[in-house]
Amino acid sequence: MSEAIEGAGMGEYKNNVIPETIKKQVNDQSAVVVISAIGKNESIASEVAVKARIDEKDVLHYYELLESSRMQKNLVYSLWFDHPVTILVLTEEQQFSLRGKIYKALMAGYEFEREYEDILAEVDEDADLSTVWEIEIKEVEEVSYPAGRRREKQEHPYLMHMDHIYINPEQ
Amino acid sequence: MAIKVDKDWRKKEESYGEIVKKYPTISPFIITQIDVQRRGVEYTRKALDQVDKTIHQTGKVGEADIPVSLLLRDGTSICTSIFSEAGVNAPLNQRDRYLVDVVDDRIVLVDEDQVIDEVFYWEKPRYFDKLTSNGTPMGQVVDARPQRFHINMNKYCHFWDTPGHGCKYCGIGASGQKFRGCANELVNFDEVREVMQEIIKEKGRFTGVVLTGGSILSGDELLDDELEGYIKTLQAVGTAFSTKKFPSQVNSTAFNERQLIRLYEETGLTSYTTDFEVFDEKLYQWICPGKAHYLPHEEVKKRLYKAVEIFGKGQVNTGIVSGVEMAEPQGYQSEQEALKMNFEFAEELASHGVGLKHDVWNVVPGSIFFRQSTPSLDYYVHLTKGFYEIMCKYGISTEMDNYRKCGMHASINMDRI
Repeated sequence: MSEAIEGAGMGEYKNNVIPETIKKQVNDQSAVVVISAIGKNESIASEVAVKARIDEKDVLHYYELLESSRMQKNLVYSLWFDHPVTILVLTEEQQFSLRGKIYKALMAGYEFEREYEDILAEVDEDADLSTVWEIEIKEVEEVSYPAGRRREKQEHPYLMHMDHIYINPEQ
Repeated sequence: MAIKVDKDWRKKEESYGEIVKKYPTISPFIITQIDVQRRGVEYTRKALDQVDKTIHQTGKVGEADIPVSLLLRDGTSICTSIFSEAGVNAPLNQRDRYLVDVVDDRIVLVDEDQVIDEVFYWEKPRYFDKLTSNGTPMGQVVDARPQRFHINMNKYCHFWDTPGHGCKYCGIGASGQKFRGCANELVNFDEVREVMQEIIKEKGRFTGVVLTGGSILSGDELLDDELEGYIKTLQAVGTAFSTKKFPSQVNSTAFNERQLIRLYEETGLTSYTTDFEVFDEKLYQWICPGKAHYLPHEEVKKRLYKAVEIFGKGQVNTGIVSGVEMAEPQGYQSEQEALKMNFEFAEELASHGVGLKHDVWNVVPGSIFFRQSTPSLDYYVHLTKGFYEIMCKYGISTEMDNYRKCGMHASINMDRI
């Protein structure tokens, strides 16, 4: 558990506020961001983001570069039919699961054009940008194994194999 | 703006909310798009205060600068009409419009005091207010929607030259009359070249170009002058591209095989449309008498099939002004019968590789049909669903006319998922 994560206790974090360290690592692109969304016929797509950022209002901006991708279609589906999307943020030390609701597909206008030019500069001139998906984060949960293990022991003390509490015959 | 509303119209058809529940697999965004195009919008003072002419694409209605149209949160364009409806030819027997208002600092669509969803005004391209060397505002030479630019190659339709030959739903006879025979009836190809040099500075803005315009019947053979106009315009557009072909669509009067081959080989054009306008043959003759005189129903069909051979499956489609098939007195009286006719003919076209699209009929002031009323929202949603399913059944790609390149065709927008 990073000490920098305020408000987190007992090695876990579950809230609707994104920890500052996570925001920083998403925005400086040192974190890996994986998005998952449901689509037509209950198809689920997951994709590592080429780029994502979190703004000052805790809106996550997911950059989908491919117009014809399954993820693009699933994000449209999730917006159209009001399904949540899940974003996994992986840092060297921790893993966070963010549950969000899509607010908007930014794909035209001056703001989009700025984002488009940035993508060409950051990825390569051959890249395209389909959509910047603006996702309002509703729930944040630390899902790193150590945090999860601590949480399970605390909240579900009798879910285990019993050898963990056998007496040690050698003692 | 003058509009006569049938005060009982809500009692005669299912509401927006009921239709959303009735079609759980159809996106509420698509249903909103259809209904707003069907009923139109009005802006409150607060909504108009949000308009910034330096940013937004606007048109004049009286003294007011009205947004030319709206975007939904999913990026869908809603193409609403902003023509002034004052005067004797104002549409009658219409429905209440949606209201565009400001609630909690957001611009929203409202119907019966219920917020339907947030909307955004279109932002105009940067070239729009620049001038050509002739002093013409570039936005008047090359128009635009959020993700495409388009050129009205010819501002007047010569079907209107013969009394009684104009399409009955179309207002171009009245609005385009002032351009007839004028120097600026045709687009200026040199000005198009100039605008293209500005357009290429706008990275990330456009995904395609559409050329359309009024019919030109003259030439050595019927439509040859129209063909020349499109070829020259496309060649002017093509000066901006490094590749021979670029994502483009011509929506013209139905060219014959020789003309289609020239259009394909001499330009960068990738896709072709000629609109049937109405699928029923007898109604085609009644509603589009000029077209039917020169281009009988069967001939349009043959030309479309030939276009598929030349441009390829998925690169040719045809459209209808959906709803005019119910115009009185000769149109269908039952929505179910009209839908059946549309689906049967659509299936025949699609089985030959022709894609389908439909515009939502918006009763145009100044048109012969200005007193008519459009079908129910249920009709349009059913039609949207049916057209999309037929396109899927025959494996016809929607990319040539997708939501970015046009935005007006709800059935094609369904392909986004």
